[in-house]
Amino acid sequence: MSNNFSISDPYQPGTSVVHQLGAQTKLLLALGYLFTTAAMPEKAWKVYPVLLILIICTAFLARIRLVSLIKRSLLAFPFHLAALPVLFTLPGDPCLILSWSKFSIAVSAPGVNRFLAIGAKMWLCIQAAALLTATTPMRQLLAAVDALRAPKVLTAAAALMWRYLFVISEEAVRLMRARSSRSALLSEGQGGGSIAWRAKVTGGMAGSLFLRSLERSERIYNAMQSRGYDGKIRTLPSTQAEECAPLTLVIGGFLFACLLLLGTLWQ
Amino acid sequence: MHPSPPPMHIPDGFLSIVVSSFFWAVSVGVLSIALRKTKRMLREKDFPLMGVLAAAIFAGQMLNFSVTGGTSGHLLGAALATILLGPWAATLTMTVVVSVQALIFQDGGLLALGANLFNMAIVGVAVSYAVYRLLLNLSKKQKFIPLAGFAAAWSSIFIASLSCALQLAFSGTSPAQIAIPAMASIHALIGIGEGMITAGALIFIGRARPDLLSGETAVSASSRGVFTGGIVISVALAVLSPLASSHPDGLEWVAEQQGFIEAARSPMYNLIPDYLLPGVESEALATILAGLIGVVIVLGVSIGITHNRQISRPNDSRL
Repeated sequence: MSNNFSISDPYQPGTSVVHQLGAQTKLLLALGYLFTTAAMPEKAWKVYPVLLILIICTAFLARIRLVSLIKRSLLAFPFHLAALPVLFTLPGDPCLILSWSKFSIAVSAPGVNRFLAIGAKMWLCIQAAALLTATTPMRQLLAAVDALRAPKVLTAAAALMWRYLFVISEEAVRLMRARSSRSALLSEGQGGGSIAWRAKVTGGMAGSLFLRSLERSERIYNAMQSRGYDGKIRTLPSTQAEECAPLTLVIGGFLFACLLLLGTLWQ
Repeated sequence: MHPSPPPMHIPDGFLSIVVSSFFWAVSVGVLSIALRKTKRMLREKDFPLMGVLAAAIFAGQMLNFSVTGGTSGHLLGAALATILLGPWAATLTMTVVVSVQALIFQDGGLLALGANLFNMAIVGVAVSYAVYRLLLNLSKKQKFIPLAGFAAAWSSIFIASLSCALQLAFSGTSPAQIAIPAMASIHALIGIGEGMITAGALIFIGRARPDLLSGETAVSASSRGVFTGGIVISVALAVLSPLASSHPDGLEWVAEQQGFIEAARSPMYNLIPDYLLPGVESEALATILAGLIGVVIVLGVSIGITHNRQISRPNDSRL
């Protein structure tokens, strides 16, 4: 259970070309890809395969198994249902009329098109982001975000969070394991009390997780202070992240611009 | 596998470029104010605290309890963070949580991150702060704190979901007259789980470390601005959403006034149609059908989430 229910680092170590590319370059390219995909006109169905091929090629170059990427994207799929109503509400030629005794409801062609386009865009964007994190360790990614002038306070807090995330999530798993081992499930009925009682117990767990983390942060602060912490976070300069490959970026930007133009013209 | 939080993390592809950039701008603006405020108010000690508590909120989102039929209640944590850290530090902490979820775990998109930050780190925190303060002004009794926490947590989830639904409607992804009632009703339920866990946590903390909840914490020391902001956001969204869902023309009109339509070109923003459902003659019937579609979506989303949770947790045992 604990193996399945803990937060795991999505980074997959490797030595491929993609892994060796600077983190900042990769981040910018990924953002460019996301922007291109999101801005793509929804009728540009001939360009979506090109976007998919880009993902597949990069995954191949990075020697990342596509299955592992696809797994990550399952998480967001329930959200696709939020777009379901556009099937019925976008005005346009009805392409399918569902009727049930007296009631009938029309599915419009533009509605179907938009629903599918939203799904395709969402899926492609998740694959791109998953590819970025599978080939770039968090430390480099944060350095790249830092280099893009994100506030130091936030990136420092994120780095600290990353460092303790696994410790604290294991603590959460332990809390849950303790709860399940103390609440036996009887074969004929349900275990545990009322919903309110269960919620209160879970709340107590959340509260104790919070207090433990608070105490941990005090210990961390003391440890930092004993090493000369004065409110500033100092990190070793990370060469790989700050290395920016301008040529790759220009080529990438040009490619994305071409794709957008192609998508607008070739519908 | 990573646990799935409530469906409020908008993935990329759902928001139009105009809407995503607008909310990026708003979020960056509010965050820069928060950074300036915290620089003045927080002690150097508070920065490690923010990082570790961000991890605690992230991990706290794994905690759940079974409700019925395989659905479960769990925690987003904005209200709990606000009550314990004060609004500005909570905004920054939630920002770190939501950003790392988007950047590393693809929970919510990167282009949509501005909108997600707005909903969870800004609206969620401001609303819980305003509601919590408002209720604590009524009564200072220790016993009252968990109740105020419940209300704060419920409203933060509910109002944030309205904001999320409006963003989807403005992007033309989900029509306002269906998205808003559907999002509002599912999050009214999810909010109860959030509220109960938050109240339970406050009861526990009130017993173990009452000093954290007594008057002298960050919550009471914070500015009036957040309080007013939270009230304004709550009222505006609570009034705007039913308006937008019952008068889709109104939303259309706002979009026209703001020049969104010209800016967005046709693929990015498509008008919400003037009638409810094409092919249905009677307006009342169309409204009922729209409601039914909403219910189907609510069911679908909850089944989807439950399914995901079961993938991530095969030996799901009742408490």
